[in-house]
Amino acid sequence: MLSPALVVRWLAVLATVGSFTLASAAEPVQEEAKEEAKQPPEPEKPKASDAAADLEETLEEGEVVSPSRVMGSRIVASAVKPYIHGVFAVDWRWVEGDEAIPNTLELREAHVYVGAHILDIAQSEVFFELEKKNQTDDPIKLRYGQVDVRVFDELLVLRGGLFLVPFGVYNTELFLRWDAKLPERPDIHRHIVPGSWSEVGVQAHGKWEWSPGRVLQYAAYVTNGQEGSLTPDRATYDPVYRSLSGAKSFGARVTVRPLEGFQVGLSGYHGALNGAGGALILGGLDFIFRRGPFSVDGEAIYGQRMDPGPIPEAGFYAAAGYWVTEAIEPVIGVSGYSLGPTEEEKDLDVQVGVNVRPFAERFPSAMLKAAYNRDFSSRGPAGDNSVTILFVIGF
Amino acid sequence: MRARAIAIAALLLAAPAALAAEQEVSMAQQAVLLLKILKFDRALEARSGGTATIAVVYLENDPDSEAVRAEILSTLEAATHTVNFPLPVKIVRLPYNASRIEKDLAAIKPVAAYIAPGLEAEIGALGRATRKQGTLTFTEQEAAVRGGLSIGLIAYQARPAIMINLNASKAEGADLSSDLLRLSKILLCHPCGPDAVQKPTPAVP
Repeated sequence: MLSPALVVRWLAVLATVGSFTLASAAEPVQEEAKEEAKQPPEPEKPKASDAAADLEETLEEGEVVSPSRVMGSRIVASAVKPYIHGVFAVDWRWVEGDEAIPNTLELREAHVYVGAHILDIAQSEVFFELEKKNQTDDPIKLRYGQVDVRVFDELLVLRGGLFLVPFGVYNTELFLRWDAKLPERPDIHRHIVPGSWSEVGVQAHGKWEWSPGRVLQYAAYVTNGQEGSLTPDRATYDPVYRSLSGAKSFGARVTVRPLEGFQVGLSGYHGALNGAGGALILGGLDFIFRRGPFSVDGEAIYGQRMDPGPIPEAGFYAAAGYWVTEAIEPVIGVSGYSLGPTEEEKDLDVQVGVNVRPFAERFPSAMLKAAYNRDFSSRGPAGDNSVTILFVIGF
Repeated sequence: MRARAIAIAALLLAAPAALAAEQEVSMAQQAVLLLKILKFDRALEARSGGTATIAVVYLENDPDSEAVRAEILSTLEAATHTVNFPLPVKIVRLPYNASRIEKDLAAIKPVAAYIAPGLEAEIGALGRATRKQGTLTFTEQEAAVRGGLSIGLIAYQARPAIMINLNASKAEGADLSSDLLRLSKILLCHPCGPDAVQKPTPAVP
């Protein structure tokens, strides 16, 4: 039993202990608060100067690189802007007549251009053709390998190496298939003027713009000439890479753009063929006219080849187109040539076609080209017909 | 057999190091860094005489040296248009000639000299000349900083880094601010003798 006195004593004890406990519980809080109060304010991190922040950012954003070397020798990498470009063309063709192709798909072009701009003083470039034309054709050909050295702005540029011969419009202006109106080159550029005509030599060329849009261009060259069988099919010709005869070809081309959009050109070639100087002589007159959506280009060529005596040859072409919309251009062309006195050596073709640029705004160098060709030569009673549908993309 | 295995292992271990040695800070960035670092020199204006001339010292007929000379000259020129610098900047090239280097430096009075590769064997003589003239030296080669040049614009752990031989920089008359030192890797000599170029005892803290 608890007596009242005992109860009072226990209450007194409880009150004492409880107050002590509460006081003890409060003590650390008070101490921490005291400590916080005692602690000095945290020192502010020293602010980096703007220049230091800028330098730090430069370091953080920077990269390390490997020095550029050619065969172990260091080159000035920042002076060299290398590039690689290409052109791919695939087509479907149907041809009737003497050279019938009933139904073929073909890789017409797989061209690779590799080069570099070296400051503003030089540009080197090689152009490889990587397509096979037939079962025995060499799949890789070096079409040109050249270096241009700018001597005086654009007025005088020296070119050396294997280069496209600047004769007519195709090797100089319309080499790329999306620049040409029709899927096929005119016959004169396969039978009189060699197709993709390259020779080894040196060339001086330049451009003078005497007022905006008015331009004079020139090219003059000396080369080792060509070799090959003397047939009208100039496409079989090869450049002479090393001249053992010493024979040389000479040539020049001048174009004048007296009005904006109109250009007229004159080309001449006095060629060494199989080591015989002057075995192929060619002269040509060409023009390009562009006004708004309309354009027309054409060319006339006259020449003679020694076979062994002089045989005159001549040819022409004209092609016109009109961009109905940004994407669609109907085209029409006519071409003809005479390679000798017989009817077999004469030819007259008419072409109609259409060019379609599926990505006209974003990538105009992608183009679908379709054309029908009618051969009016006297080799067949109704002439020969052919159709080409070609897709080309250049990048 | 064991010796061969050890040799192959050593070769394999050495190969990445050799590859890493080919890494460098791009020339364009070296040029930018050089100009920005110069701004941290509190003695720059006093040393400049109104125009901050930067000399690119290289070894003639040494392809590597000539290539770096051409590249750093053009990138320095470009950097002067992008980096805000307190003084007019003039870039000059200076082919190294052991018998003339002091006179050449005295003639052009550069505040800084970028030392192109190819002059590794001449670091001692170069250091004496730049100290006499009060020209702060820059290089892309870590070994050259350890050998006595002042500031290295080096690749460190695949990143651009600044390495400073503090005693060399002081000897070349620069007074680099602590902001720059905070961002850099510092080489100290323990102790720096009268000719620290010849007897460096560097350490990377």
